[in-house]
Amino acid sequence: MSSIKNKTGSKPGQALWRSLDEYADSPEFRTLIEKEFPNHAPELFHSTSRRHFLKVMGASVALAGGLAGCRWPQQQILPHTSRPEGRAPGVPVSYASCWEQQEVAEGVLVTSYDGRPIRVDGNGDHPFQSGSATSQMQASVLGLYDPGRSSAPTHRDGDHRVSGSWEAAAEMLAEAGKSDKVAVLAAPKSSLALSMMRKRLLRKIPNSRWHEWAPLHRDSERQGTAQLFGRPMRPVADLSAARVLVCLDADPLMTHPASLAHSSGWASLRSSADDDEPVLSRVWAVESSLSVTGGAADVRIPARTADIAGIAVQLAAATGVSLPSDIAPIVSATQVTDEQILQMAADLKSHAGNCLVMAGDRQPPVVHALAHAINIGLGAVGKTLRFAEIENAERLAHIDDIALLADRIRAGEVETLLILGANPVYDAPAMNESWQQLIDRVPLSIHLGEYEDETAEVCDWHLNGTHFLEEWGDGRSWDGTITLRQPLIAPLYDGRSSIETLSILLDEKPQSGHDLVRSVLESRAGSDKDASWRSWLHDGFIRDSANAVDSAPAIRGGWGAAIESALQVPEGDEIVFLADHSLFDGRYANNGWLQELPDPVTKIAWDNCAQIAPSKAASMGIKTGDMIRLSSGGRELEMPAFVLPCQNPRTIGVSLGYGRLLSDRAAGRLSRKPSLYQIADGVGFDSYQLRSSEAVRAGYAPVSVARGSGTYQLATTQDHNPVRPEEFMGDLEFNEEQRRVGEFARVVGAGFTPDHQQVAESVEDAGPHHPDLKSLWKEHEYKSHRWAMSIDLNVCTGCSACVVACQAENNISVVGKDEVAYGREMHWMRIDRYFSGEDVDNPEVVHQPLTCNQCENAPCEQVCPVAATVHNEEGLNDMVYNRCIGTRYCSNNCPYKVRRFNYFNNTKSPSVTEKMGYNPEVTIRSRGVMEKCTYCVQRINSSKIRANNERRKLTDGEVLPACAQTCPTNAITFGDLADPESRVTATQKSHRSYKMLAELNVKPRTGYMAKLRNRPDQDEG
Amino acid sequence: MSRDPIFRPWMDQLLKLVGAGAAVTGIYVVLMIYFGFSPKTISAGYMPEQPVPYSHALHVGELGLDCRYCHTTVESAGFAAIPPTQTCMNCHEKIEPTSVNLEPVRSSFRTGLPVRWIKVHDLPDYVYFNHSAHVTRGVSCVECHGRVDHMEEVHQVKPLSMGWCLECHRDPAPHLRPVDKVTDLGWGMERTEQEKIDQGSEIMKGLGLYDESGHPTTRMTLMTNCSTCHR
Repeated sequence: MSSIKNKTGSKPGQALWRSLDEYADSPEFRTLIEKEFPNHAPELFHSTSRRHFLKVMGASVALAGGLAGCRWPQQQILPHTSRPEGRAPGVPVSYASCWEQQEVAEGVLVTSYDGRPIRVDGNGDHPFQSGSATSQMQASVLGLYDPGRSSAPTHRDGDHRVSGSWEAAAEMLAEAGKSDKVAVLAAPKSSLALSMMRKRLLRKIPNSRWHEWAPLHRDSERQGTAQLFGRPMRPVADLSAARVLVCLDADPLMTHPASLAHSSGWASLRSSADDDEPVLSRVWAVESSLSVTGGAADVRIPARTADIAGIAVQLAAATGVSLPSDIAPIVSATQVTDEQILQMAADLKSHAGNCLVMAGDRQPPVVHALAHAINIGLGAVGKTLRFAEIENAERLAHIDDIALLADRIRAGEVETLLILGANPVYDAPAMNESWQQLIDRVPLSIHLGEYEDETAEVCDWHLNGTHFLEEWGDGRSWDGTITLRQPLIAPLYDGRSSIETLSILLDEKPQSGHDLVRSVLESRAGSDKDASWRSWLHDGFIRDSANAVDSAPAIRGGWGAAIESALQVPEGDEIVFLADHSLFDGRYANNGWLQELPDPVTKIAWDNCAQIAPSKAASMGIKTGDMIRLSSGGRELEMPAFVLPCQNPRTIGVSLGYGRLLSDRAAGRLSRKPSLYQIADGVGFDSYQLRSSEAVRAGYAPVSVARGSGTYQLATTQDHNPVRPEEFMGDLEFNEEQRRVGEFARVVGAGFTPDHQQVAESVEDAGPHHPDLKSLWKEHEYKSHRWAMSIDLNVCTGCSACVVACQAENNISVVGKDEVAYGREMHWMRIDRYFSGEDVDNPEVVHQPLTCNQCENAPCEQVCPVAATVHNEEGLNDMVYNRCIGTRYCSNNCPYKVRRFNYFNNTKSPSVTEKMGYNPEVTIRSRGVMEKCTYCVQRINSSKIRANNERRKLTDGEVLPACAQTCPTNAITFGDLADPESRVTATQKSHRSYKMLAELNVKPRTGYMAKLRNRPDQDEG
Repeated sequence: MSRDPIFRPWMDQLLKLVGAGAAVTGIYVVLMIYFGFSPKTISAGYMPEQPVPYSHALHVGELGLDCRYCHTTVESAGFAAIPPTQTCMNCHEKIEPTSVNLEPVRSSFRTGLPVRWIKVHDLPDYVYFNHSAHVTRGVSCVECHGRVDHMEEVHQVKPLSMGWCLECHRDPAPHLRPVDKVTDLGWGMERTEQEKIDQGSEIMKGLGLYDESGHPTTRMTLMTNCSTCHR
């Protein structure tokens, strides 16, 4: 250990760092890495008393007694009475369906195991997307089995709520349908069936009105295109053609509803880096808070969200957009220099036609109009961008719509309020009165939703809704392709979907979801209606049903009228409200997988925080975890600060969706504590409290920041499992830290070719230099498959879909915030986020996903006293749970720190529904057992058995681990090194390929491919 | 006056007896645990009472039904599916339609609720056994399940312990037969040990487990990897 101090003692910080603590080489970080067991189990011993000891001993005796029973519990086999054709018990079957968020449907393939859906993947056949899935799509399975879902209709009875039945609810609904002052507040959906029901409701009930509200929406995009073209249109981007992409506060690769299509398009250019004629794209990101796209960008420019309108105007002027003449020359009030903007403009112009400017949903409409004016001016339409017509074009902006509803409630125009899936009490800004008061004014309020949430508890009735895997439905993908939803399982709690509930309200004889969806799509069927319907259900979508595209939309005169006002922005600090990378707007708050998923940017699990720039924090004397008081427009909130490199110094970034504390608000009103809170209760801070109507409209709000009282513990995994090469190098005189940077990322320019001088040099420089490696051990021989993985950091965005995919596939436990804070998260796959560069306010970002490297000279195997981790003939490090006695020697000896230990029996008493969600192909682990990535050995085995049954060889790509299957950018390649033609063999031979900590001679099977940064200052000529 | 010795001479004898007794007890306890708790003792012979007294001896042994008539998925899937009620009713709608013993089957067919069979061959949950991987390689049903065609009521014959699995995984040759004979339970009983080994080796060459010169290939060694059965 002393050698580390000597070596790094003179050097402040590192060239490559995961956190500011590491950068500053702070005492906290030193303690963390020098502790042999940073995740030692302190609380087991805190309160050791005789009583505690007896309790533990009692349990052991009880266990021993149980063994005497000789035989394990009897199991029953319950065969079908009549088995459907083609169905074999224990053989998983996939069905196409669709998942929806932000009014955009994504086609999914749901794997069902004996009738229980256990995995959600992307539908690779869908015309607008690949076979990948986001973390939220993956985690939706856990949402289905959430024991916190509401299980029956409830209604208010005096001060209490009582459980009712759907029969009583149906009577109430049918009665409500006879009232003539009905208002519906719905979460917006792209469903055609819901749209049909809306039209029927408006027709049948004369004074009824349909309102829509979602806290995160894309209204400014609709309004911006409406300014430009006279009608709202949907910009459908094709990033596979975009050589230059400028993102103005946009996050096309993560929070955008078409992120999957964008990711695969963007990656298709980036992964051409090893082709003979690479076509590297360049991404410019101008943004206030670090987004996933910003982390992946080649050039990232921090700016206030408020100032980006000014930058957009300058960029438009520089690319030749004719602006209204009365716009005064803009004085750059931002940190962004004119030179940077001109460089950006020149880059766009030099790739005219193959360029794209995208504006984010926090930007005002005029920035969207400017962006598309640039796109049209540079000939992007038809190449990187097309404008699709949208339905329901006349609808109001969400914030205006909900304000109108508030006015109508106050005017007494609403007698019955039906809320379909929206949660205004939690996520809508107050309209002079809180939404609780407004809903109280309505004589009859009815809420339909999956959870008995904040809005449900103030409504007279709550009706339990269905999960998307339980209902019939439809939706439109980003390009408008009609995507069908079919139930994978009957509703677990006898819920009803939105369309079925509306049918109960409207129809004498309520129709089933199936009939409603089928009737709305009937007109699109061919002559054989049944055959069309069956083929749609099989495919999951209707071919050629995308919305019409206007190939040359005409620009309206006077579109730039709003520019002037958009440039009037307040000085000072601003706050921006971010879609949470896990919980989105809070709808997934009760999902343990998503709560425990470290945020791709902050690496915080189980919390949100106020992201603050290092320089701002330093000037205020604030550290990570200090409480700060945010005041905006008369509203105040105290939140823990998180000092985040890359954050713009005058912007505070706060993500939404946390702070579900309804137990306080509901004091006395509920007969029982709603089970929603089992997971979501008390996690994080409710930042909606700071978000006013003006903030929703503007996308930001002025804020003043002051030191708050006390500190708060944030569970961030950014310093967990530190991989410190110098620890292994002992006293050898290597100063290899700098070289690691070259290993991760290499800087290139526009003229890049794989055999380019720069790359050749950086390959030579990259990685540690070491003497010839000799093994102390007799090395293994491999005559069979040699499974290996390669991960292309050039396309990894850090989106973390792989982490959740791994969790779903391998039954990985959720451990909770306290355990994560100890460093005991169980994820087999982690994504290390590294910063590099000297400017802590705007460093560069590299994400490095890490799983078990399946070393050929595995250090873990050599220290296990009971042979619980052994090498197999294909080079995998098999982990044998039943042999493991929990010494944790293997974890200590693992240089990559990828082994995870079950400190507790995390799977002790799963509820009936939780059990249904487990993958039966993978063993459930108990306390005291080590576990780690297996390269999804269950998938390898089942593929091998299938191929052998059919007497054929495995084909390349046939075995796909869950992470590789779901990666939106195809960053992960898996295959057989023994096959010289396999893709993984090719990628591991790439110039960019390196093995992590190669100098240890552990011979890892996982290889990495360095990230390329396509910088304008490296361009030639 | 001399005092009587505390330890009398006969006590030497007692000490030896006690020592011998302790040794015998020790050996007894060890053997008791070793044999008493071995799967051969506690698992083999397990014969739970089924809801329907279905006789394999009658249906397979006398009437000659093939195993795959009911256990349809055995060649293509991990589980050898227990037949749905429909399969029983295919015949029993006409044959013995009023039998008391068949009432649970008829009631299942009427109500749509399954017959609750008791699992006999129950491997631990951390073992992943795949039927198709065995029967398509020439491992007969009889190797693990015994002469089911002679059983009035199905019971477990083999211990199904890991050591027992490995006996075959380490040396499969004597346990193999031509793939088209796997469900013919009485086939080849008259073969000598050497004939079994020779025939099995030929089959394994065909499957790529042995090369032409008779040396085991890597696919042989894969059969004893931990992750072959445990994940």
